[in-house]
Amino acid sequence: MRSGILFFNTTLYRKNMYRFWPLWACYGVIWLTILPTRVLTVNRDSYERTELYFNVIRSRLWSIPDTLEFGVVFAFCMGVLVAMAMFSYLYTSRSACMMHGLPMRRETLFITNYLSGLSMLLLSNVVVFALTLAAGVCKGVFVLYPLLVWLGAQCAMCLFFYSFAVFCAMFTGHILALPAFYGILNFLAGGLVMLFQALCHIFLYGYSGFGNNISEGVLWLLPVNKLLDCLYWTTKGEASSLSGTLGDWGALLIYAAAGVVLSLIALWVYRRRQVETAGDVVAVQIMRPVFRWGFGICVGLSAGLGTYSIWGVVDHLVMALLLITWGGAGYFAAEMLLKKSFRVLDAWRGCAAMLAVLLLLCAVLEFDLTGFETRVPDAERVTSVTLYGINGIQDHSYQPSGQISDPETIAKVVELHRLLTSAEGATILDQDSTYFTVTYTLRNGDTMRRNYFNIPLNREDIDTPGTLTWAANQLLQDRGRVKSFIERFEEQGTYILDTVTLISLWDSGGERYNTATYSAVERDLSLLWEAVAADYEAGNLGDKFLFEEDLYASDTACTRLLFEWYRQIYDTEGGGEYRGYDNLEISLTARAEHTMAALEELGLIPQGNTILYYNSALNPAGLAVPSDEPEWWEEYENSAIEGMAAAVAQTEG
Amino acid sequence: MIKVNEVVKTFDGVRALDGLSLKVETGSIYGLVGPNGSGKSTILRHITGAYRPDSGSVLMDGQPVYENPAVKCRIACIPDELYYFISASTRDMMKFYRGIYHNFDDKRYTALREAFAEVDEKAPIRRLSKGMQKQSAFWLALCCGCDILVLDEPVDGLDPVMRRQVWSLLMGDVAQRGTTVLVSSHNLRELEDVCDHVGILNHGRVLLERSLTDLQDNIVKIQIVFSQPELPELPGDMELLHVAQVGRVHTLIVRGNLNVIKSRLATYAPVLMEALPLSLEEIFIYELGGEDYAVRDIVL
Repeated sequence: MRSGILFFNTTLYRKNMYRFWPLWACYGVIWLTILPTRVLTVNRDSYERTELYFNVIRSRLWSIPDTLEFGVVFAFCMGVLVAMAMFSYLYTSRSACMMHGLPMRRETLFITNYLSGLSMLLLSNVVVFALTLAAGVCKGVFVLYPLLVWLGAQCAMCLFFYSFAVFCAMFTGHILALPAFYGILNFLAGGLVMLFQALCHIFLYGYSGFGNNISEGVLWLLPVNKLLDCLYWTTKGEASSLSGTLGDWGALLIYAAAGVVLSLIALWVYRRRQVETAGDVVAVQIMRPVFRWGFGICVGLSAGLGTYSIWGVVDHLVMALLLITWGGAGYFAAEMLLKKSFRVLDAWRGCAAMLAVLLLLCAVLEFDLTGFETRVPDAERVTSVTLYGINGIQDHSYQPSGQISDPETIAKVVELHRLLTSAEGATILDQDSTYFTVTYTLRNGDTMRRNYFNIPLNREDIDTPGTLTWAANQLLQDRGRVKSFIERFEEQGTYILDTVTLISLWDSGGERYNTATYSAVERDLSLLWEAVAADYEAGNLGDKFLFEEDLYASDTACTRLLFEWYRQIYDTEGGGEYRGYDNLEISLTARAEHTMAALEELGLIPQGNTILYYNSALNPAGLAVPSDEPEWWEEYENSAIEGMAAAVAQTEG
Repeated sequence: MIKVNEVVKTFDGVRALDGLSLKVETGSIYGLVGPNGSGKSTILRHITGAYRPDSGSVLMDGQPVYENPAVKCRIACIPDELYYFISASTRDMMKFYRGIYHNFDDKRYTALREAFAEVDEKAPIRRLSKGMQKQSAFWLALCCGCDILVLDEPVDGLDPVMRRQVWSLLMGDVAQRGTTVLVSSHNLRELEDVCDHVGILNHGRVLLERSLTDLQDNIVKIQIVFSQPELPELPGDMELLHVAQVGRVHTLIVRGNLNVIKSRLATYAPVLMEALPLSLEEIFIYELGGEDYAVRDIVL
């Protein structure tokens, strides 16, 4: 039987579909148990009104694209399984020789096998789509759009993941290496970025990249993550007139196009592939050095950083030694996989070259050859800074943070940063330290971020200009920093006050801390906010201390006010609005007369509770602040439990 | 005609084929012999178009074999290690080959059912014994309608009766259809009976390639007895491949024409001199002995 298409063999296609029927059957059945059954399981007898019954079916049909998140993972798994089946003949010598001895061009073999696998997935999708549509019609509801969305998105994902797996299949001659390569390559970019960030975090003083979100560019190289991010499905409207949107069709189309490109590259590689490489871990000669180096570097970074973390040492030399030790082990392990032999020491030259590169990387980081550690922007070049840390010791949770554009404050930040660049390795005196995280926005639009932990503070230096402690204190005492934060909430129509919480009130009866929360909906709390703003303006609130002694000598209370605000934010991606919350926490002082008066007037201090001061002379009967001051949420939980207990007691009574 | 020109193939730095050239005439049965690792299977895989040569060419009637379906359609192959789809029966594979080979002969498949009566065509091939699997492979290969059969250790695993049956079918194809058979085997005794041409491979090259008659005419085995027990000093230009002595009887393997050699030995006035026929196996051993192959090991 002669095939009518030049690069397609119908006999081989039919044979593939027949031989590997469990794959497409399994794929289809799993989808069938998810999609049509969610419609068919709606029982008419359970609903009194017919309209309600139809609305439930309609809602279920409209929620079908919600399954696309599962579809990402499913397509990811099925893609490689189908590719393994379709190209399994490449992985043993006898099957490879038999198949390539058949009177077919390589293009015919590849295209037929590729289309066989692809059609297993796509035709199953079409069948599931048709049966789900039919199930809806049988139940009396015809809904097409969400089903088309599901079909389009699922087909695009299948195309990408299957093509990617086929692409990987062309580079290996070992069937077990294929899923390994496929899995690794799907997450390699993110893994490498994280490993490199972790290495920089160890070597570079002030490096703040570790733990950051992965950049958008790298995210594209993590298809599973990217697709999970962009395949959100939102519906709006009543059940009778629903409409919906899928998060990001653009990303899906880009991945589908990438799938087509990958399949073309795979064909190109297949045409050049040597049949005799069946059984080899890496089948393409040119990729073998890449495999050795890649494997060595990845093992060096991951195992080196892991061992460094387990040992808990802080020594750059140890890190470098671990890196090259594990890197060398990884290189030889890769060589063993390639040669299928343990006698690989003759590869020492390549290993030495790779280790030299790793050592060079360590040297660049250790000796800061890029100038990263000493780079401090000129204050004139900075348009704004976002600052975290240097908040003083009495603050507990939410701190005044956010963007600062005041040139004087920026100058103080830059000065502190400049002093910090020369403080690497300084001993922390008297256990006093703080942290400092800063993000500069420069005039050219660039951003620069640094992160310093355990900044050494010395109380004796607090009045000595040019010292780190002095610079930290200058920044701490900068009232404009808090004021700019307060002013954000005073912008008309932007923020709406939600709640006010009094934290660390002293319950004299129970001899413990208490928390009281008041809703701005239930009572007008604007008076309290205005009092706080007035006291701050008068200098009666907002005192900050770097050292405990100064705090205990002041009139600062450990009782604090937590203002919680919200604003309506429009969701540009999913549509609709949601509330974005922000907070300001401020410690009370004995001289904050406006605030005290407002608290009194509004009756916000519960009966039996009192404001407690660090300075025991200000407390009733010289009461001292307990050393084990609890966190505010613990107090909140205590109050909540107590409230519930009281409610239960009242009910029972 | 199959023509292999200066084919070189290297595997991980090992030169499996080192400029190998050979020529197989249409309608001939060409035996490919050689020690283990000499490159027999490798060159056969080139001839079936599975392997791509590093350099050189494999041509069939002037057309390259590699990536040429029109040419490959004329070649059927039985490899030393058989491959069939898992769970596939002989009938399943027949249906597959029928779709692949345009000249697949259904009638012949039916006709050959009698010859391979012991093969259950509906049973999965993997369930069959090794010999049965070989029979199945022959059955299918003979039905593909190809005019070239490439056989790598084809009768290995077959019982003597089936061997004869298979060779008979092959010889019949050669006689009636002009099929060309290229066969590699270590069973030289068997090849000697069926081949009309032989190529001896060693170290990835063809050591010699001749018709079997020419080959046998070019090496002479002579048993000779002289009046004295020792072998007299023979002329230096006489190409002695092997000398052995049992009692007073000397056995000489000499390269050259039988009559010339006999006349030259007659000048030593031997008491007895007799020329014996040389088997292919002996030719193989003595030819490779000159190529520093481990003849001694074989003799020992």
